[in-house]
Amino acid sequence: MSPNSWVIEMAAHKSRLQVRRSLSPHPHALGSDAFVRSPHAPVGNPVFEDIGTILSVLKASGLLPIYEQVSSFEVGPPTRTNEFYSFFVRGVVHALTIFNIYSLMTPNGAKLFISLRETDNVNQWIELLLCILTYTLTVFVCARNTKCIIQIMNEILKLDQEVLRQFGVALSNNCNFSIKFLLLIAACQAYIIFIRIHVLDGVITPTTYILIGFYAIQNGLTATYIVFASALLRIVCIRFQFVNRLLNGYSYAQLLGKSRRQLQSHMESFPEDSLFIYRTHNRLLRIYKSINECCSLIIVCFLGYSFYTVTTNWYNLFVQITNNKGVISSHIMQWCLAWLCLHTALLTLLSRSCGATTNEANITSQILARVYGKSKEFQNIIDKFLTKSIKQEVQFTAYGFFAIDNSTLFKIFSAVTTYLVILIQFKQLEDSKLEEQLQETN
Amino acid sequence: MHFRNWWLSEELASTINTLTNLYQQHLNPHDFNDCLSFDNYIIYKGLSIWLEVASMFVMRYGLSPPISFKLFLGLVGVMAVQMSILLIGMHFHLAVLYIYRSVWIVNRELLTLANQLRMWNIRSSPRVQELHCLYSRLLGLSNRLGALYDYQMTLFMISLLSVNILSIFYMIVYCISLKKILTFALAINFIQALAINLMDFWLSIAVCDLAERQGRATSAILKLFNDIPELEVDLDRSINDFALFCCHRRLRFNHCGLFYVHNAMGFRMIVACVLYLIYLVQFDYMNL
Amino acid sequence: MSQVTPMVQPLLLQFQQLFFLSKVVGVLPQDLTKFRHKNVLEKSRNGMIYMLGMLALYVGLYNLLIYSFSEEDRTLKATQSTLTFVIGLFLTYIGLIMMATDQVTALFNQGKLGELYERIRVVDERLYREQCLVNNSCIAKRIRIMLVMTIIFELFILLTTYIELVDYTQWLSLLWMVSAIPTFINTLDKIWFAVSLFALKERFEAINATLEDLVTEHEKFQTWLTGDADAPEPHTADSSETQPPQYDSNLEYLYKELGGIDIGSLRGSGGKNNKVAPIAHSLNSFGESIQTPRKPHQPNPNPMMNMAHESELSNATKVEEKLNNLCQVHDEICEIGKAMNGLWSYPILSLMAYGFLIFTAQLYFLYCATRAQSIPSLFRSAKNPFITVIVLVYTSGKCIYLIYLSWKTSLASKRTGISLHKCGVVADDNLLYEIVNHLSLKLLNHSVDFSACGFFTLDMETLYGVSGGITSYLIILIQFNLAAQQAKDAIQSFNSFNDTAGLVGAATEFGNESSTLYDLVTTTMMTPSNY
Repeated sequence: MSPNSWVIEMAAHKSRLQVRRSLSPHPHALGSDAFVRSPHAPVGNPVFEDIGTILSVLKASGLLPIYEQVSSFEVGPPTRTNEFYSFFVRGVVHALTIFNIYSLMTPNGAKLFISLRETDNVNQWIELLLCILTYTLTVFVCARNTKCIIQIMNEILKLDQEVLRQFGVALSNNCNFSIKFLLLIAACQAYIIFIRIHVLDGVITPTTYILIGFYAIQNGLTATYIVFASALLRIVCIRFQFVNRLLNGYSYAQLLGKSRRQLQSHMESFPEDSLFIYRTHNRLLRIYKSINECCSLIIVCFLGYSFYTVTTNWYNLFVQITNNKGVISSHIMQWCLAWLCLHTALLTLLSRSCGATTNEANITSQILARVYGKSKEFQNIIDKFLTKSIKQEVQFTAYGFFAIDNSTLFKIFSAVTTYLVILIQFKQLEDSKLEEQLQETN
Repeated sequence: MHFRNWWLSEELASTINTLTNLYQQHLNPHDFNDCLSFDNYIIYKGLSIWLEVASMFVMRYGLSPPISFKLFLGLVGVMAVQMSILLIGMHFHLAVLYIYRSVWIVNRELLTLANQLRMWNIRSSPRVQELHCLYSRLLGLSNRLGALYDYQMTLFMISLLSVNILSIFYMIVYCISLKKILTFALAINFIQALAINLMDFWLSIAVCDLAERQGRATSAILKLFNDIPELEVDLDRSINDFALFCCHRRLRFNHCGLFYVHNAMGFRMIVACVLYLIYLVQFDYMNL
Repeated sequence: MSQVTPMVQPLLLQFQQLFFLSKVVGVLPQDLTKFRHKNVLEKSRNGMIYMLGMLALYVGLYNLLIYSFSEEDRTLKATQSTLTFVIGLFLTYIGLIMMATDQVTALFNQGKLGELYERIRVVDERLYREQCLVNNSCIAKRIRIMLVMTIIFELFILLTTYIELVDYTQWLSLLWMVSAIPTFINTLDKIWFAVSLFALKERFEAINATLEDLVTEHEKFQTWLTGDADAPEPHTADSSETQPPQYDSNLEYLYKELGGIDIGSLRGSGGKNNKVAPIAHSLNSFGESIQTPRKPHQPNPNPMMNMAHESELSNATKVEEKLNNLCQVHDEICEIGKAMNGLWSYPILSLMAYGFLIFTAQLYFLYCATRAQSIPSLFRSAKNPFITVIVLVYTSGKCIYLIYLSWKTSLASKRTGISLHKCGVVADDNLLYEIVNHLSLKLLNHSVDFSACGFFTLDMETLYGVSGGITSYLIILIQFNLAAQQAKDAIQSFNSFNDTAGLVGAATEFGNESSTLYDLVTTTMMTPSNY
């Protein structure tokens, strides 16, 4: 899946060298390092505090490795028992999936569908299968990318460490949205379960409970993983922002009011800082790319699934509104609205965080173009970066299929409209066929 | 297809000769053993061809159990034609893979160079220009190759896709509209044929995407030279040249001037196929 | 040059009528008196309250309008197809939503808008120092033309609809006047955007023109050099042309030491005192333009005045400053463009959605009206084809003009690179060439493209896609309508005739329906290609 893995590995090797190298030109930084480190790094202070909740949920469900924390700037591979636990959970999940598929085949499972038409039935089946497929794929990919995730985390932490050492700034991760989304997911899923069980009539066997419960868990965990990916992207985005802010300090707009002496002293540190900025930018790009490679398959699946869900729910709503015969069933309305709310929120979150990060990554060269150095040396430094970033737009792609940014949302909704029209046509066809049959019987 | 193949055989021979020459001159001293995806894709392709042939055989066998001599003869003929087509596809595939591997080697060289420059304070190296030259030759080769095989590959893809659409459509008509019960053997037969066809199609896309991504990685690696201080002027200039060259001429495969082959294109093709299938089903619905 | 006296007239001077009008109608909350005296837009609480009041008033009136006209709609729901009803219901409020978006964003942005124009003024000053003048006078003309057009269109649509199609015997029918308010307010808001965008485009063009002037001057200079080498003042030409590169770089170094980096003062003083030769030239344009900054830009001063044929391009250090400054100004204008796009992004999105939906709906209702089906009362203008055409021209004119203008602006910003390269090519100088190379790399990264919330960019390609979308959705709607009508006919005939006749009728109807569905399928096949 990752043909460029050697790039990452070799580069990781290199960055270790860089760290050692970067110590030498900054003796003063080292001195401050000792000050900074002692209060800031009590061992055991958990890394990624902001997304701690979501991490623990994902760890418990076996999607993420239960890593060990070596120091405050490094995480290690999981211990043997924890690894075994993850394996066990994944095994249980797969077993449950198989059990579910089996029980869906039996007539007991068929009760779950409240449908009048053949088309609706097919839709529900496809939706269910897509959900199962998405979750199973998520579990598989996560199991495969265990090391990759740990590596990404380590790289981010190492970057933080370097930033802390050089600038004395501890970067914060504004990821409070993750908890809100977690709550939203849980609430929506619980509500959906409630409505589902409420609507079901007749005897409810334990199998049905398991079926519904597992279905909800599958949905919830997939959604949680998407929130996790968005949180990672947000973290990277904040790092990019930091780099851009650093660079922005040198742009001409900031320098207009200053006197010449100030200016010269200000620009003196530019070559040194530019090296740091370029290096950090490269490393951030690499992290970004590896996140993309880790998550892209899951994201493709999730996008397909949520696209389908949104379409069918709109369709259901439409059918509920337009049918003149029966009363509008409020249960189905609520159900559809809950689904729509959940998926739209997730899609918006994903596309926004991808769009923001991509934007930040691409804006660096624009900011650099605003630095007007007087001497040849500065111009060369600037040119070096700009030449290499011509037409090198960074994109967060869904497995190379399409780029994910703000416009994806727009595209998805226009596609939903198209498919809605097709579905409504099917419904009309079916209605006319039913009438025909009625007339024939008359 | 064959006609065009024959028509351009001279050009083909010269292109392949250039490729082998290139390998002998520049790339032989390097070891290729690490290039995992190269090996993987070769294995996949070989597997897919064998599977195609096998599935064809199984299909024929499964549909008409009494095997007469005539049928057998017809089967062998069809299989021979199919085999030849598949082999042409494979040639292109392999050539693209070779180009991919050479670009990969270029990238690796650049990367080691970057590492060396950073670790030992070497401030000049003639290697970059060599690599630049090599890269440009590879680009020229890939363009020639694309031009050679464009019609064949386009036809190949179109036939694979149309076969897929039609087979799914007939399957749906067969089981729903004609109300026949789908036997297990038939379903298995159908699904395996479909899966193998899809896999073959996707392989031909994925290999082009692989090469293209490697080409993009070149410019990403060139960015790594940014943060090395105090490079020599010559080296700096040659790296800049290389970067500009990479951004102006990318490694891409264009078929018939119609479309570039990469994953996004493949996705669009598959979406178009699904839509087409839906229209077909709707027509069928209407006719009943 | 002194910074104290205002060298350029602020752009906002041209906006007086527009501001007055939009203040009265309640589009902008800023303070009126301050605008009169100081030509600045400033926040004002009273304006905000006034605007909110206006908004509430409009919403109330509009709802009253909908309520008073909804009696006709009840019969519509009973008799007509549900599709028309649903569309009518959905589209009733979109005009109101659009107006509310405009006003609310104007409220939120009331501080930022003033800053924006302040930035434009600063840019103007810098451009002025570079002897690159921007003509603001045609902007006022443009505003007037647009206002007049808007009022003509609105009044025409309103009055013709009122006279032709509304039953004006009842006094409640006067409420129909309210229906024009949302579009009018929206148009006023968009005129602000369009005119500011146009001003930005003019600035880009001024930069381009300055660069091109450099080129033409230099060409003239070169022909003059080759033509009569023994001219009266050969020494100036020699000293500037045959400077050895070392001297050049020395000079550059000296400049940095002497002049410092305070760019503006260096430019101003350098232009007047340090250089001897170009004094006549620069003083000319300076002297005239101080009194009349509105005077159109003078590309080539009188050749008689310009005896020495001094070309700026032959002096690398001087021209470096100039190019550098132009480049910075270019970037600043790009930034302003981006900021402006950010301010108006939601209104533009809502305008585009409005344009798309109303265009489709109006055509659809026109179709319904020609088929003698009744349509929602708010869209009664669709009953008359002529009025419909006017409405469509008005709505689409708004959208297309905005798209066209933003497209042109980004094109103009991209043209600067070409002009810069012309300079580099004409001046056959190593040092200058490097400067041009460096700056063009920077220009490449100054991007301005206008988009609606990042969903789609505003350019001609989008226009093409949207027009395709409108066509296909229109066809789909008409076909749904046809199918519904035929189904209704079938049911009616089924009820009225005896069984056999009904069966025959139904059979033919279904035959027809299948043909329409055939069309439908072909059109839906077209739809995904637009996205």
